[in-house]
Amino acid sequence: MLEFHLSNILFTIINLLVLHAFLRKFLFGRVNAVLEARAALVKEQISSAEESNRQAGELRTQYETKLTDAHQEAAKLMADAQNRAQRAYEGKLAQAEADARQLRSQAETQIAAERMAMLRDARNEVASLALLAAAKVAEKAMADAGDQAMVDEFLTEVGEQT
Amino acid sequence: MDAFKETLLEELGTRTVFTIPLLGGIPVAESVVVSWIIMAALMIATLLLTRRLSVRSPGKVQVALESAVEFLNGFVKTNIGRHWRPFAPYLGTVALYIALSNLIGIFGLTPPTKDINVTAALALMSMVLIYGAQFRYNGLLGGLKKFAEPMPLLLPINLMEVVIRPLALCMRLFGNILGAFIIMEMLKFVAPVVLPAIFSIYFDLFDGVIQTVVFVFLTTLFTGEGIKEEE
Repeated sequence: MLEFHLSNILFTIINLLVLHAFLRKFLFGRVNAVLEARAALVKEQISSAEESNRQAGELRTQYETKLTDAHQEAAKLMADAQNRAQRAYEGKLAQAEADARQLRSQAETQIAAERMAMLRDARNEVASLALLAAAKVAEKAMADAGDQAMVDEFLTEVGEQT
Repeated sequence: MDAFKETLLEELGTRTVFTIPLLGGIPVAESVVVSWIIMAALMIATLLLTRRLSVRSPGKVQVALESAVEFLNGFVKTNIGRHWRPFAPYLGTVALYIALSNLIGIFGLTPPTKDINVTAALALMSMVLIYGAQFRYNGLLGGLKKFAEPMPLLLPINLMEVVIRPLALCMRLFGNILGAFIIMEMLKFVAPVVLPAIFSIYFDLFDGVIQTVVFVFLTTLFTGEGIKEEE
């Protein structure tokens, strides 16, 4: 018949407590520890991934600024070089022009001087010729008026030409 | 027929397997011995299954084990709330024990839950758990105040529930398993060949699992009721 036995109830309670202690330690404890460890692992991996992402972003911005800087630097250098080249070119050109002008003026003065010298020589020659001619005429005694006029004319002509 | 009635009445009681010759003889009932077998099986299975747990590369068995424990944790968390942690292992233990006790009839052993002493012990433990938690997490005064909730008018009913709840838990489990057992016995008596196998699916498997769920669910619910509103 239906009856309660204290020993039976006590045995069952002890059984339950023992089973509970055992399972708590070896089943739920172990599995929960693994679950927690995995959760911690996942959390840590996510945070480390985020950290490295952030670092990568930082590096990228750094590189980008560096790259822009480099570009600017290069452009500046280029412009500088061009400037300098232009200046040098212009300087050289001006120098060359000045040289050429100087040479020309030198040449011109030289030509002028030579021409003057030549003219002077020629005049001297003519004068001496005239003198010679005059002497010859005088030697022959310039008697008539016709001869006198010819000498005068000649001298005037020569004087006009010089 | 009278003989059959006799055997059924016999089944109501508990058979004593042996007596420990101490303090004038302590009787050890069949249900206790079967409980020991269940405990041994559970312990061996636990040790085998949790031998190589790995955080990074869990095997199939570990995944199944983890999902079961996570399911239990989630269930206890939703019903008990913030202080769920210490309750989950006990409720899991009770669930495993009752489920195996209910289902062990399949292997030809007498289900321990057919013994009213076992279900009474389980219900007593539940009572201690429910009201222990109520006083543990609310303090003495807060725990007493809980009896006057949701309104002071319900104080007598709440006080009566201290006895009614475990009694109902005890009787529901015992009655269901005993009823299923008796019906199965009668079926075996009437048609001993095919029919018992078919009905065994319902009475042994389905009813056993349902009663496990009901017992654990109600215990969790009552425990949560006693401490949840504190948050």
